[in-house]
Amino acid sequence: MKNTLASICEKTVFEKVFKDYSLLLRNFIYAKCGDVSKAEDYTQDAFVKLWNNCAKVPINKAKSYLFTITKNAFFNDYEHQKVVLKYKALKADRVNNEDPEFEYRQKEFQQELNNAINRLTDKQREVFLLNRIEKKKYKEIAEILDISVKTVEMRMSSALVSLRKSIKNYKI
Amino acid sequence: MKQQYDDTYLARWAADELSEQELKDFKASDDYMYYKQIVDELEDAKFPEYDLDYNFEATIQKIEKQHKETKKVKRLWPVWTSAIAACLIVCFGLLFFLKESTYSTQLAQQLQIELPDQSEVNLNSDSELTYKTFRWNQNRELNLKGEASFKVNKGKAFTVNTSQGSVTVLGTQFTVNSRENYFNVICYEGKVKVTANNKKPIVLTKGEAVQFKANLIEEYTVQSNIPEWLSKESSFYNTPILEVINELERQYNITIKGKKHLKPNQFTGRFKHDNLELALKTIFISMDIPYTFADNKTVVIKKY
Repeated sequence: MKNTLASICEKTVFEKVFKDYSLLLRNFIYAKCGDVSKAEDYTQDAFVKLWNNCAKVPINKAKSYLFTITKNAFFNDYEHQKVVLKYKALKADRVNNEDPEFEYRQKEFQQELNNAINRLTDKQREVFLLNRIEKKKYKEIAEILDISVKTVEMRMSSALVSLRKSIKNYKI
Repeated sequence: MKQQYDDTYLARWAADELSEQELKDFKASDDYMYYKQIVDELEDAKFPEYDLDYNFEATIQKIEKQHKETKKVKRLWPVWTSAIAACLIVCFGLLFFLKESTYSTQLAQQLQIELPDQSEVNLNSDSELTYKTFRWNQNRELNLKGEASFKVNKGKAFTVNTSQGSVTVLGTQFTVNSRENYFNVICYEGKVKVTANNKKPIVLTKGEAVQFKANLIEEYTVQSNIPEWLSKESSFYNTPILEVINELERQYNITIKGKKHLKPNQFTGRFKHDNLELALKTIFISMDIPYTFADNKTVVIKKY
């Protein structure tokens, strides 16, 4: 039913595409660069480009188009600055009635893990965070990043090993 | 016991894809607790909050701004402005390439000029010199009205054009004097080639001079190493008396009337530039020409 495919040039369709993919795109860039405002900037720019090329991009290609141009834009601009990644509510307040010593150690561990994640390579970090925080399956990540599932698994494993090494002195 | 993991072991564990046996082994290992701790820690972690409406608005604004900008750019700088800019660039470029330097002297004034290649020019009174500055070293050519002396550094041919002919040298010191009906070149050093209009070229070497008077060409020699007029003196050799008196006017900025009374004699000798009385006597008395002062700027030659 090719003829009935909605065109992104229609504002309602564009808005729907935005609702469907913008958060995923934002988190994808955020996992890479660790800067919310930058991630949202890239996301907005990607959708501006999608709008400009709405006639050329069929709706079923929109997602891969968005991720591809974002990856390219990011690759061109981003100069591997030191990443300062903060993910909100690293852990929800599920520990309530613990003793202060435990609470302190808990906070310290959070901080240390946070730092360890920042020290991962971009490739390890994006796979690790998309899987652990975005709860994306390896297959989905492979699709987004345009790499094989095996590669995703290898990056995930090496990310875990790196984190393990970084926090080896923290035992709660 | 240290567990040997393969490349994807931990990934599979994190995704609950290990077999029962593998999981059992992993749980028994020392590392298990640490990995569990990492994964548990992030169990409820979230990415920073995302405001979909805000981001959508921001995107729409970017799209609109971009359209506005393209329109604005078109209005501010239509195509024809770049055409004008290109014309301006070409014009300035031409001005630069065709740029001429002009130096001129008034009566009773001399001027020393340094050319781009450090060659020196001394411009005598009431004279004008022009040359193109662009690529001077490749094209050493200048135009002269009046009298100038040149000390030319070695290099490409150096040509002085005058209305009566041209002088070409390679590196030398010489004087060119081009006045109405009188053309005089003196070579003080090196070699110069003088090409008077419609005449055969004449080559002068050190101490040689040539003058073109009406239709007469006269070659002679000079003793001095530099032009006399540089040391405030004018020197003549068989020069038509009219030209001598014109030079007197130029050097002292005076007017000499009654030139029509002059007989077509020639003058050999010199006069100084700092004593008018003496200069007048030197020329007029030795040539037997009677004169009086009408005022201190005007001399009248009487009929004789």
